[in-house]
Amino acid sequence: MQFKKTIKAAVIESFPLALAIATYGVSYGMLGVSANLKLIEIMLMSVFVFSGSVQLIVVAMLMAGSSISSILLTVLLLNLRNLLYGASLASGLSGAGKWRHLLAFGVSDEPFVLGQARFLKVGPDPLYYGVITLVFYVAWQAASFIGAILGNQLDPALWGLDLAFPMTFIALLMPSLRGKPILVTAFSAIVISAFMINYNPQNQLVVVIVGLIAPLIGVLCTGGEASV
Amino acid sequence: MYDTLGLILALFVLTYGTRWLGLAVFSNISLGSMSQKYFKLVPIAVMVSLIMKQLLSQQNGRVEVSLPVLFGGIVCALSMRVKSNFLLSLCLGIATGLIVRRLL
Repeated sequence: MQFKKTIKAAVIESFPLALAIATYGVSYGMLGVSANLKLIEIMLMSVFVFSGSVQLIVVAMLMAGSSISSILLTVLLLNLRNLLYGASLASGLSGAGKWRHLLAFGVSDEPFVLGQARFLKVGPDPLYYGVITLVFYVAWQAASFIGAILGNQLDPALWGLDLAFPMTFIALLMPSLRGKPILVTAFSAIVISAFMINYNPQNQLVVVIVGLIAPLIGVLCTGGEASV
Repeated sequence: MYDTLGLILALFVLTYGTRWLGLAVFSNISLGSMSQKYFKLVPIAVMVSLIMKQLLSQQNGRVEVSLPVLFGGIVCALSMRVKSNFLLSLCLGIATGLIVRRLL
């Protein structure tokens, strides 16, 4: 019974984000075509990499004629946040045993956000994490394929699908904004992000740097007081 | 084709490698209380940063605030504060953003 409840909750809670992910997947598929990638190459990248930020940046860099070494360095830097995500998720995935190696494939932005919210609420829940990862994976593959087939026929902005991404994160963030450490971290993240984006809008490391520094300020300024 | 396959393989190694490393290494390390608090604050910082990247966009060579994201976000946040209904807040935020976009 609990098994079914967990799966149901995972599917319901991941669905809105899966729609947002699909929007980016369609964009990736379209960009892949523009970067002269074949359909099989576009799909292989989605199947094996399964990372929206990495894939979108790679096709953009391929289109710009960047070297393979610069692409790989950028991807390495972008992926540094996976270390933080993995570290933060580890306790929530305890009990997964050998499945942890497969669940590691789902360590990325959206599953991380949903997973953390779930772990804070009910404790470790590898099944929940597995299901949301599967939902996102299917959405990403389907959207990549559709994007590659459709080319440039669809305008996500016209339907507001592009707005689903920030609105989802705002809706997820609001219930957590309680307590001094969290508020200090959030405020620091706003200031650092705004400064970095204003200084260099093309900077792809904003999330990594903010993810490293803002929590540090939150802990140091408050001594990690109260419940985080 | 073969170059692209090599690139995809390298991307897989870099991406899965960092994902696995974070989980595998830290799941076997007992973190201190300050470290645990730090890592619990990471998602807040990441979410705020992802929102900021959507809010601030480059237009005509300048960084500008996206008004659809700003107003949609305010309505979404207020709705969450008042009703705590995720789906309703999401829909209200997107609808507000679309209206603002049409009015601009």
